[in-house]
Amino acid sequence: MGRAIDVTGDVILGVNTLWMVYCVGRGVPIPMQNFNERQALDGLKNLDSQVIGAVYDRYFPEVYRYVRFRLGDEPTAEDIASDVFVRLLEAVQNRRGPQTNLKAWLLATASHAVVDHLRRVYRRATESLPEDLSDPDPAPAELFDEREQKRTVRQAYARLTSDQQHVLALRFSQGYSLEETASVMKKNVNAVKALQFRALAALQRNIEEMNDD
Amino acid sequence: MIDLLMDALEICLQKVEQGETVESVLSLFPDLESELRPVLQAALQARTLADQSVPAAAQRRGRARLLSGAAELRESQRGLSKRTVSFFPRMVLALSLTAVVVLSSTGLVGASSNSLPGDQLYPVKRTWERVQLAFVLNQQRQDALQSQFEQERLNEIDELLTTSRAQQVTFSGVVSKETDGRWLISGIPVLVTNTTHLLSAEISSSMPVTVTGTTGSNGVLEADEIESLQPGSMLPPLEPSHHAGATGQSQETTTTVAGTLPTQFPAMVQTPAATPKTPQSFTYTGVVQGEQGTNWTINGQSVSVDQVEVGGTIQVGQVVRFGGYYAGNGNFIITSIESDSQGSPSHANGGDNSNNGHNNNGGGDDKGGGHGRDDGGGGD
Repeated sequence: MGRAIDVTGDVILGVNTLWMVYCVGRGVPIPMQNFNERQALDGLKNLDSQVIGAVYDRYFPEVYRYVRFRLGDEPTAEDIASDVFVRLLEAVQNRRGPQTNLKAWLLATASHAVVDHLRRVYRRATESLPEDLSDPDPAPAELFDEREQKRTVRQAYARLTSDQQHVLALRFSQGYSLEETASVMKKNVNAVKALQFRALAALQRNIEEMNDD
Repeated sequence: MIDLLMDALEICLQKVEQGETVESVLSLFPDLESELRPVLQAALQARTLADQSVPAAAQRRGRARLLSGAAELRESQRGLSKRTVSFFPRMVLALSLTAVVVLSSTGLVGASSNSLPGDQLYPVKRTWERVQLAFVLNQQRQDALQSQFEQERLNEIDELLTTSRAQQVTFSGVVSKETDGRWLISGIPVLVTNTTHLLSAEISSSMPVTVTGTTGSNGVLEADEIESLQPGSMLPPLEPSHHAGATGQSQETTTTVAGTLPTQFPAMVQTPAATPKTPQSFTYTGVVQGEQGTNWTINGQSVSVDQVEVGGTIQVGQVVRFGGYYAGNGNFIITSIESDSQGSPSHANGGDNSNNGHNNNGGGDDKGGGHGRDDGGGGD
């Protein structure tokens, strides 16, 4: 039995090629603890349904949460998150896919997809962010205040730069450590610290400005 | 200072994550509190945007979409693979095989063209004949081709008899002479004995038959079976002009029929000048039955004598000798015609090849140069 550590620091125990082959051959879902990125990438190249399903099951929640944090819209998050995995397949087939860090590639692609989506939204003047829509459901005053505050934070967050939104989404939607965030963003830890600090400071300023308005 | 502030922020975030209050973590960094507090509050606000739940339905839909996309990719790759990997090798293979077949078959066919029954290449020759027939759709041309092949059978038997090779053969022809068990069938001398199976009740002169027998060293084909042919069967258009037996004794070559039964070109007499080796040019004698300008009727066959060299004055009822060749459509094209008022075998027997030299493509090396002939209708 071998041990493998992916670049994000996850310790993957019990990686065993034969076991993976056995699982795929017998149609048994690959156990999460036996997930190996190298083999997963090979399976993606071969369009192996078992491997594709295993990769999806492993990473979809993280990608979905990331996108929803960035946009605050569940249907759009669902569309973009699933589209990221389709892009992954296409990229692997075209030899433009990830070589090592699958999760980093997925989240980076998700970030680009979010930016593309926002660009399209801003281009269409009639379309506004979901948080700007009035709440159709009447709610108690506490809930209303909470939603208002959340909407303010959302708008303040939307004013951040893409990198600032990216770093906050990684830190607060996923609970990634500085090291994990640095790995996904392909930056060093100090750069992430600085970016995070500037992002939070800007977010606080934006919130205050919006509250003042 | 900045680094210290960012490190302090990280510590505060981790402690808040662990459940400590903002005030308690800020108390750890009193000197940095004013800078840390707004940033830490912003971090807490940002946390409110996070939602750890993942709708199961959304995940299922995404999974189905992904697997569907994977299936499409697989299909497209299969198609691409078929086109890029399989198509070209198949095409190359097909072209190569075609080239090999064409080149080799051309060579084989060429080599087999002179083969005789019993030769190794003879099956190739017969197969090629069947291929030719299969690719000729025009019925008239097909009949002409088949008739030509029947003629080739006679030529083969003639060659076998000439070279005294014993070989079982089958051919079709018309019985033209019966004398003491020695028949002449389309110019082939056939020995009919008590062991010969006559599969038809009565076989008589002028009857088209199929003969199966064995060529012998005595220049005669010993018949095993003789069966009358049904109307519509194909016969050779011409009979071999002669056969020179092993004994050197000349054989008479007499009447023959041409085409499909019932015959349409009867009573033609082929002179010795036309040899089986040069079938492109033939000389016949016949009776002029009618004249309408350049359209004459000879032995019931309408022929055009336009642009034909006519020797002497020819009248209806007169026996003429004419030469020509068979066109691709099976029609006989006359190139010369002259009076043959003598019409006697002795006259024709003279083998005046010099007169017909232009008609028989140099067939002057007539092996049976002294052969006589009969008119087809009467026989001997």
